[in-house]
Amino acid sequence: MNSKIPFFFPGLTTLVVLGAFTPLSLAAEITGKEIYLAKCATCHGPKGEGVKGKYAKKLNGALSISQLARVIQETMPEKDPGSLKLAEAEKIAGYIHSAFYFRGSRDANAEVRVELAHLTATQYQNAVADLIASFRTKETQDGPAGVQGEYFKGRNFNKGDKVLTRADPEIHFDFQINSPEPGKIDPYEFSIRWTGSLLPKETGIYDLVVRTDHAFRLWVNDEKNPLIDGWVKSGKETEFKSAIRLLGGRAYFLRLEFSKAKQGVNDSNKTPKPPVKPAFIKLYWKAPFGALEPIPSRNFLTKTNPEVFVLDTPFPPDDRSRGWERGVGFSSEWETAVREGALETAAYVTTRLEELAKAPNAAGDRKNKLRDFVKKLARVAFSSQWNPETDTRIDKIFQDNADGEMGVKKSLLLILMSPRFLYTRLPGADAKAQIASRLALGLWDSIPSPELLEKISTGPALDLKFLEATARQMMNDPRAKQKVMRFFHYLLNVEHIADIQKEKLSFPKFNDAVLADMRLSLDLFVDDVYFSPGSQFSELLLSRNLYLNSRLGDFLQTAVKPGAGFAKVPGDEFRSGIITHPYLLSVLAYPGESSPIHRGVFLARGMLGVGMNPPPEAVAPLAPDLHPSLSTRERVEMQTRPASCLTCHGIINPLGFTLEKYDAAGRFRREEKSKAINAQGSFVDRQGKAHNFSTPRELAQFISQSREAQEYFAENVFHHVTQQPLRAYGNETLQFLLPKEEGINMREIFIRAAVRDALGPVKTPQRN
Amino acid sequence: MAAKNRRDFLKALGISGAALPFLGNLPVFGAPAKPRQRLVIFFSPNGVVPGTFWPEAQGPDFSFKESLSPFEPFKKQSLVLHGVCDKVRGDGDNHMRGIGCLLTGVELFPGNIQGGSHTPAGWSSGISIDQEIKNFLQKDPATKTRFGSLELGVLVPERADTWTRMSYTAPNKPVTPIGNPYQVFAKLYGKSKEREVLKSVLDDLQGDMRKISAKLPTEDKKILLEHADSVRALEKELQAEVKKQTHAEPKLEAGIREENENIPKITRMQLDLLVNSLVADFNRVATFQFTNSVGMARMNWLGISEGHHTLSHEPDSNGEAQGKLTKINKWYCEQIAYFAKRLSETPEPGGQGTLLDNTLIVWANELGKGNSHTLENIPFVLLGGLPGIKMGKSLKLPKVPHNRLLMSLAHGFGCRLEKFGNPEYCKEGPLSLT
Repeated sequence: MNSKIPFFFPGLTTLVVLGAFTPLSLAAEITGKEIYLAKCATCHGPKGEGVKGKYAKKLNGALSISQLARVIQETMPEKDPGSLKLAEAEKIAGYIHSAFYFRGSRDANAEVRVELAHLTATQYQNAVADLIASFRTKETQDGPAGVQGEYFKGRNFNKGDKVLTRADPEIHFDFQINSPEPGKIDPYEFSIRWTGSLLPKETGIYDLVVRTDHAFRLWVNDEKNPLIDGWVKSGKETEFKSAIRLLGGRAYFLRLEFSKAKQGVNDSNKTPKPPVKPAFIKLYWKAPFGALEPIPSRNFLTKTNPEVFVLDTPFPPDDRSRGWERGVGFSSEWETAVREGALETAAYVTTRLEELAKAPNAAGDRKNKLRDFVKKLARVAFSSQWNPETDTRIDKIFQDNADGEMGVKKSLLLILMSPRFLYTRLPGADAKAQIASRLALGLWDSIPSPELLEKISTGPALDLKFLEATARQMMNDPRAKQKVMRFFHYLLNVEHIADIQKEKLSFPKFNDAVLADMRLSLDLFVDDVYFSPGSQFSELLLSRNLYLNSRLGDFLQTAVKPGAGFAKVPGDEFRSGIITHPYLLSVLAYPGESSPIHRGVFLARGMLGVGMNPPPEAVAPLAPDLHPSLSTRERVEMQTRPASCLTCHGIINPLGFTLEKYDAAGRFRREEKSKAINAQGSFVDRQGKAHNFSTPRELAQFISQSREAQEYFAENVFHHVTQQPLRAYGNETLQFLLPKEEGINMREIFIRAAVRDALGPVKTPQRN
Repeated sequence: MAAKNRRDFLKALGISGAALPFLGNLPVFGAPAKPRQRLVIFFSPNGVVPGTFWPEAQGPDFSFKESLSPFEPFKKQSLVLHGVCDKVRGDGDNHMRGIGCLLTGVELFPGNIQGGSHTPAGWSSGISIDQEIKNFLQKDPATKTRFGSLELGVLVPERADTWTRMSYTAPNKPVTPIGNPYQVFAKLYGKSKEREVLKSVLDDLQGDMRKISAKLPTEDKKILLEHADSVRALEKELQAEVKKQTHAEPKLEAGIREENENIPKITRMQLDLLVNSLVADFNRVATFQFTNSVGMARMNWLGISEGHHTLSHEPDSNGEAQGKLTKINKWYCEQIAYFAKRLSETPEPGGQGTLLDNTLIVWANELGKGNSHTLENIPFVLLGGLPGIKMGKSLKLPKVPHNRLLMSLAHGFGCRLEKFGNPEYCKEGPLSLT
């Protein structure tokens, strides 16, 4: 969200004003600034920064000038509220609004610069994964979904026994006593090998579950050691589990071998044969935020991919004090993580030298091969920070160590713990490589690939069109898609949603699976709009479509063919983009009741960029049972009636009320407690103009056309892409991101943000 | 079964290097100074040749026959137990039960692994005695060690099934023995080696940080200098750790592959590593598995070119084969004697006597006799010392269930089990071996 902007109003009523007010003549020439300095600065500070012991908080917020003037006139000065004339209050409001009060004008004079930053946790994980991947076959995520199944008539995958190869959408078979391919395979004994890739969307721990009554082995992201070895069937167990950490957005090697047969000594030729036994084999997973389910086809790829290095070392969470994630400052926890991460990576590499360095144990020139490998690795790791001295140092390490492997280990630690690898804003000698580095960090959260470095270093690196075209291409990379998904999770504040419960009585069909469907539905929708050719911000807010499968369709009472997987279908007449998405509406609600306040805060802060702080003191919502005759709207209005509440709730409530036609689980409703729902809402913009909404679509229309909302979106994108403050790049940057003449293309904003950052905090280039 | 992969391996080493006691156990202050007690169980496959294995006489005045002759120097610390039988029945052939029930004393689960005869079976349905004793020792801070137990092997096939596993942490949870000496080394000393390497680059690293920081604006410079200071502190910490190191790491010959011809070398490396680990008090329990049940070692270095299991099927009338089998068992015996010798030459750290005095070595086999596949008279030979067991004898017991012997081992450690494995075979309590 936006930076925390404390509201000063609730505190004003308790403020003790010291010092006397000098009566001022109301001569026309007196400016708002003069009145402020004379009457307000004693307690609020000359720049609204606050005065310790008086009113310590900063003066900033999101009211329009006219709203602000009204509040000042009614509540200030503390000792004698109402003594200011409205004209005076308006002058004060006009002055402080542009001087420091409103978001855009805040800290206008404070120095903001591009700071030295280290890789964030996400960037570090990606960087080491990609560093190692640069020595392997390139990952591919193109090609048909599903897994490749090879069917054998024998028990042990003998080549000669293979009778069938086909793509299976899922691994979810109950053969009972039948053959998978009657006529070709005897049901008494057969084996199947599935291969392909696993495509997880989120980063985190995945539980993999195999259910079978026969022998199996499952490999994930490791071609040698099975994740689960169930070759020995022992006792009655038919469910086998293991967990593995995966980075979202990458493709992982997958193989599942299944053998319906007795293992060990082969006695299958015994006569008479015993009766045919039943057989089943099913592969499930529980993804982060997901429910246990058969791994869906869309998360499989029939092509296999090389291993991915997934770092296990936990990193401390990154700084979010400005609202966005950035790698600032230094902490000993981070230093420990860096050290352990380097050791883990070095151990991973040294146990795979034969593969990565193409240096077999017995090779005579092994040591030279290892040294060249490390030199190449250092170039990729350091990119713009590489210099010939790097090679000299590696040469020295290999000279000093007779054992080549020791040379690799020492060099790797030196590379991976080096500031040249860890810090992202070091002055660099190679300007072109620096551009490549910034683009890669901006769009992929990773280091530049050797191909990207090559492309930038041989191209017209300072040409805006060339850079934008390059960034546009980079957008097709799965890592960019991952970064976009993370951005929207952040924008919609659903990064860490864990346990959403709904009351069983009102929502009997709501469960973990429905919740997981909702989240996926949101992801599919955002992905679809963002990666569509227009990538329109307005479409994100105005589309009536929802992605539904039959379970979610059933829950939302929207017609979807039974058994159908996710597809885009038109929602009810009021649906309008993300602000009416059932996942968001469910998250922003109580177990039994909707929450106009949560929804309103999201709309104000997350969409319109209105800064606000939590209420001055924790307030428990009124229990619906105590006011059985009141609607949710009436209850909220009753509780937030006091003037001290209304400074914020006057903004929040009318926004939240607009979504009242959606219940606590995002289902459309016309009535609450047998009364027609009043979903009238409103918002006063920065200029003080009031807007009324009678449907969510009218609100969405307003947001999509609101310059405030568009700028807020662009600002957020910039921070997410660069991890640096927009203001450090000059005042024109916002215009650069949001040229006025076109519709708002979200993808282009990402691209421009990355390109703008790649050019460095110099003057914003002019577009011709 | 638990997949042993890189992650498990790293986890076994501990999450944070800084928190890891990699230099052996520190003395526990305030705990009574009890002598350390250890248990090392050896396994060799395919039964023995009874005529060249079992001593004729009972009691203290017995003589070793050919197969056991390498134990001659340790006769006073030996106990030969004839008449101990694996009475566990149920699924699985005798080889499978021979190894799978040897240390668990309980039936195998029904399963899909088909042996040469009998019904198919799965894993054991119980914990093994080594793990039971390990858990007992690990519970008490006075006897807790870094690993508790080590499971080592020599040429154990790369295949997890009933014939290749004897140690179990729980029903259906077999332990994979480590057959690669370099992997054992990494487990014992990897972290300290790693930190040595780390230490060697820190000076360079700091230099680089300070150099780069000189080019940065003040605020950014502060961050990098803080980072450099932290690296400097780490360097000092690692230097202090090296000074505390209590014993030298063993030197391993490089590049020995896990191949049949290397069995003697690998055995020696594994045994030396185990001695080191016991000296450092990394563990007090160990199992040591030669090959596997139905093991096929070809002892070309003894002039025997046939596989062990194939030979073991030869009838008693084949004198040549029986001679070779005797040689094979004698070779296994020599290895254990070497281990005993190493222990006997090592003074007990901080205690009385030698390591051998406080270590009980148990040598066992899956079968009594190869060609009959009998589970009667399982060869159990004990060496060393454990309270409650009087050594220096040959005993002929009246076909007692081996569960009772497993219980005696636990009792020797103060772990007063009333039953172990199938309770049916525990009714008469632990064997009295005093």
